Amino acid sequence: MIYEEVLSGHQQELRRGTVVMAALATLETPGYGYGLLAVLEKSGLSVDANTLYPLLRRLEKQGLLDAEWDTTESRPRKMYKTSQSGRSLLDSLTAEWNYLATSLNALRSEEPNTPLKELP
Amino acid sequence: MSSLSSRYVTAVSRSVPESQREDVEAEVAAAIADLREARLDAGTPPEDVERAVLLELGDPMRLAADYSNKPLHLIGPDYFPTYIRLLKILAATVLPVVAFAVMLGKLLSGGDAGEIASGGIIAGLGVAMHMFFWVTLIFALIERNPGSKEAKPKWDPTTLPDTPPGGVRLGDTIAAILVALVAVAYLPWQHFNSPFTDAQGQSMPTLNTELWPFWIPLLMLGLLATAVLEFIRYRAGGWSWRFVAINAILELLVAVPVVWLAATDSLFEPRFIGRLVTEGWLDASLHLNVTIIIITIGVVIWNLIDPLRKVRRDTAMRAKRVGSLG
Repeated sequence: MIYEEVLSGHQQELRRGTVVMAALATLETPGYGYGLLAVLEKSGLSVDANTLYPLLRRLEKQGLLDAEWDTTESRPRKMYKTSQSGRSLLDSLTAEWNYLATSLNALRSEEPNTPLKELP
Repeated sequence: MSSLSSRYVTAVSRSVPESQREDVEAEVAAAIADLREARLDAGTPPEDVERAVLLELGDPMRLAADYSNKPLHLIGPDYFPTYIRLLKILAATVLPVVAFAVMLGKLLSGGDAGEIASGGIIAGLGVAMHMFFWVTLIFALIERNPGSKEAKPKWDPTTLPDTPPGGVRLGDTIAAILVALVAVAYLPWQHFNSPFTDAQGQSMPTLNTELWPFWIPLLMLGLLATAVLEFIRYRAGGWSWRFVAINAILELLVAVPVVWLAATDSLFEPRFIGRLVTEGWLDASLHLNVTIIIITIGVVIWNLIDPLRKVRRDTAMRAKRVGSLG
């Protein structure tokens, strides 16, 4: 059905930016790639593995995550933790998120066409 | 780690820059191990696990591109418009110049018509392939050069092409009238002054002498009327539905007899065909008639469809012109 395809396309677009926020928020507690994948899955923010692993590396490169190899377990794992600048970025993104949500709600609750009618 | 997984890791690491290779290799290996474990815990049969995990991670080249932030396209949206514009300009300038130069060269060195035509076509194809390849290669390299992002080409409104002019262009009209007049002149000329001679060295017409006194004058009349219509249409500023109707009648007036005569093998002079056959062109009659039929039908279809495409535009154009004057 075409509507469903359109919907899932838009949903994907809408969710894309939220993965970064979810990762930064979750990794306040140190964790490794698969652990994060499982947590996100459980909380309803499922991400593909082949999207998440490269993303973690990108965030690390940007200094938003601190990472080090943990060799205490049976096999080495890369442990990530949200860095100081990662935390402040998450704050900015959250503020942006709330701002967008407020604006959208305001738009939806107003008399449908008044904003358009007020245009010059 | 089993062979499939290690091959996958190698495939990924091969596609990332040297500096990140070791790191990415370790990360991908750890990721595969974790995903395997999770699937085993979830109860996937051990023999299917590896395959499922690698399928989940997908094409290694794609994963590598995600890791190293490399583009997965040849030419991205920043450069694509410039790329297409450049190709169009080259195709409109270099291509005809080269083809023409090669044809001129063949002509000067005494080539026959076939050599000249094929030389032009082959040279044109060669140049087109070269242009396409090298331009694409250069843009793909620019796309992959990290410094090029700042040098993003700028678009400027003044580069917009002109809107196609409504109405008729003088050049088109003159060309159409000339073609019609040449055809009108050819019909009597081929009868009285044909360059072809029969075996006795006597001049012979190319078109059937039995087409006089009716068919050939009819064709001349139809062609003349076409020329007149082109002229009137130019004065009127383009197509209108009345012109479309008259044009259709005239087109059919000329084309139907030609196709009919060719199909019944009565268009060409039998002596002319006979001469061609004795010269060794055994199927001359068939080839000539079929060629005439195909070309005539093609031209007529185009001449019937083209006005239909233009009539609306021309009518609107005239209305606008009247409106802006009034």
